[in-house]
Amino acid sequence: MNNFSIEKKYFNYLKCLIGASAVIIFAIISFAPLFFAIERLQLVTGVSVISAMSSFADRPANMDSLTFTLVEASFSAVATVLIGLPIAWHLARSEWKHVRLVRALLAVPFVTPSIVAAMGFLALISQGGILWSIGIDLRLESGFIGTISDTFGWQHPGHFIALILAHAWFNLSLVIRFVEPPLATFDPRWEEQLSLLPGGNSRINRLRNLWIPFIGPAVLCAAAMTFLFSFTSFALVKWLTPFSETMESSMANMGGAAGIMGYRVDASLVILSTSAIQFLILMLTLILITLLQRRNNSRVSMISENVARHNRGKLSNVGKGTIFLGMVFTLAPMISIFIASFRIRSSIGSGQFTERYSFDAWVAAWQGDLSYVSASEALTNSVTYAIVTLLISLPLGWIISSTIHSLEKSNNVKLAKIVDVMSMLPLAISAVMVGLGILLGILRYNSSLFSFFLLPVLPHIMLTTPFVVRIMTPAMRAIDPVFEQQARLLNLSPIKCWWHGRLSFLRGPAIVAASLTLAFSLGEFGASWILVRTGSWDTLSILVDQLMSRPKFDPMVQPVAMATASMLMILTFTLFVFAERFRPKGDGGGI
Amino acid sequence: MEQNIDDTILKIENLAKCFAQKTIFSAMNLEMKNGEIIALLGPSGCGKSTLLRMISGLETVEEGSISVINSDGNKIIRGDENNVDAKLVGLIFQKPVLFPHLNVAGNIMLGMKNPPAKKLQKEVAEKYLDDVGLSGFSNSSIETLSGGEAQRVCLIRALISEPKLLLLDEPFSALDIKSRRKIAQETKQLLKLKGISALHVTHDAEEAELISDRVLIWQELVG
Repeated sequence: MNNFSIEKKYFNYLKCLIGASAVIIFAIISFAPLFFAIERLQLVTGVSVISAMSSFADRPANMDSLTFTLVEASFSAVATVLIGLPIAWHLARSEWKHVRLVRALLAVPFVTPSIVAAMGFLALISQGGILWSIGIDLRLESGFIGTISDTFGWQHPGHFIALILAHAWFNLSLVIRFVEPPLATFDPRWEEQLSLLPGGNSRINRLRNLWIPFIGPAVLCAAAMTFLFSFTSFALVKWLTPFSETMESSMANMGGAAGIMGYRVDASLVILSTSAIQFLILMLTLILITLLQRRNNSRVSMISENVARHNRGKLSNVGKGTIFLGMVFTLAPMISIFIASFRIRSSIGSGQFTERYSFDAWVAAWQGDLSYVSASEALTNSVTYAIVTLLISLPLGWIISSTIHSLEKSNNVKLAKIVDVMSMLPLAISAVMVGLGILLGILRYNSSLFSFFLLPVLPHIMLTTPFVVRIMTPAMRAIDPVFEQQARLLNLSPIKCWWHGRLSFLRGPAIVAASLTLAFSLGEFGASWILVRTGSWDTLSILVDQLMSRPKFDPMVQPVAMATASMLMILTFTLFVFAERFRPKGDGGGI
Repeated sequence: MEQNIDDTILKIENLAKCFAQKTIFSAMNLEMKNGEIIALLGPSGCGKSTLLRMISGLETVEEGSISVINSDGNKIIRGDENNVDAKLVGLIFQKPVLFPHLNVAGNIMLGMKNPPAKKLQKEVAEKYLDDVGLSGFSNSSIETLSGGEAQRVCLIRALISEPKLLLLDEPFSALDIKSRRKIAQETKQLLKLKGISALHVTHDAEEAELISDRVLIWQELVG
């Protein structure tokens, strides 16, 4: 055995050991708190998970929240596809300048913190907002929205429409990321061949024989993911439909009273049964997404995006109009927050108000005039949590991805799939469930841990690591092994082989994963809302929520909340723009 | 539309094509009789594929004219609009274009004007597949076919759509010499049997001789 073989053997042992450790650590981080939480809730309520699930329907409020969640998530999925599909189509099927820039801008909502999105839509629909100024009053539901309510006996249609639009806005990039890349690289010969056959001589035939089989799975996959994210949406539901509860918001609202022996056993029972039912629904949705993603691995030949675009010619006027409306839809909530942060209401007596524009709210937010912590302190907390999350999530996710890839290469496909699915599982546990799991789990294990400053990092790791795995695994699969083989033939050491044959190709995806981890951690709301119980640890997203919850007779409350939300938006937007620079051309997005 | 008075199926007059101000070919003239198989021999990159795309209506005609006689005996003049008519012209691409979400039978059914009910499709497809020596392939996945088999399925699909004129864009170029000869002969037999006119472009002189009634040299057709 030569030196290289011995070195390689030990290097492989070390790799296996590190890989197995990472997978075990992630499994413990992800599932131990939930295991302890279930144990705690079973102890408090005296019933098993199965019994709790069977008693779910006994409480009418549970059924109301289940119905509302299913309805809003389904409507959101349909609306997102209806809005996103024409945009993806026109974005993909023409030759035009600035396509990358527009594509990146349309993807911004997905990384926008949910609390910022909620503030954006509140600013959009509130008095003085863009929608209100064009006569669509979704907030107070006057005008034709009120007529809809009166005619159909539908309670609060304006709030419901606002929620659906906000979910469509938030998930628009999913449709674009899933549908646009295959359309943009689709070989036009397939379309041409079909148009020359009787089976493709009409639009309906082409739809049936080409487009539905080709992009149908991608559209369904995007719809299922939108359903998943809308199902677990918390900040948007909390602020846009305050009259209705989803399963997620009902758990969050009852979370404070749960898990305490002899106190509000009903709250513990609601959390136990609701979380179990929600977990089941999310698991089924995830299984559906996995199946659809497998079908989505299109076997139709792809060609260079530039060649395909050139063949199809310039963007039509309908296309230009569609993209323009898509951009307006994307930018309107973000611009609205910004404007609302400068707009301050002043009373002129007799219940009349006027508005002035100034930087006062930004100054007040930065100095913390209205809150226990200032925006600058909250920013420090947010950045600290985000950096610690990054330092753990990125290496953890990287090693898990590398383990999956190594298992696939060594024909351990089943084990690779198990690790892959395990790394996805935290996505089936919503942010509020994660927060409650950690809260109740710690209560069961050691309540003194509540004073540990870095406690909120735990849910952030759980929620961001799956995204790192989703970005890094395809990037590792895409590396041509010939580079590593060439490095070996040049007699380089295993570390140098890894450095030149793999690491150099993973730099871009790693930067994308790191930027998105930072952005997601900075904007995380659901779990932090449950866990951050002392004001001094408030993050920017929690501060926005706290400010907005204050009575609005003080004219500075809303602008200060909007200014704080704007700071968070600028921060995540900057990270996103940075990440986009490193995203490979024609990439579906990894997320 | 003018009424066709002679036996011509295709007439090309003073045809030219430019891409990005670069002339690909100009002053092309060609006339083709009904039922005739013509092989057009020319070097790679001379514009043979572009010509076929123009005849089929996939590419616009800016200068000159192309007249194709349709199924009613009327003359269709290709203008500058993209005018694809599946009843009139069939095209087989250089690389087989078979839809991977359908099996062999499903792909063949795309060529039928009135496809039979689902349960009968396999049986009908088998009848056609037998003509090209592919019996038993109707349930096969597209990915399991070799290049020659895939191109035979494309040929069957194009023939059952009963075009007046079939255009063949070097469809056998990726095959080995032996397979190429065999499939060229089979194709000629099938075309003659069905009475379909065909314009076959290639850069292989032997293949041109094997498949056609008449071989034309590209340089002699253009100005």
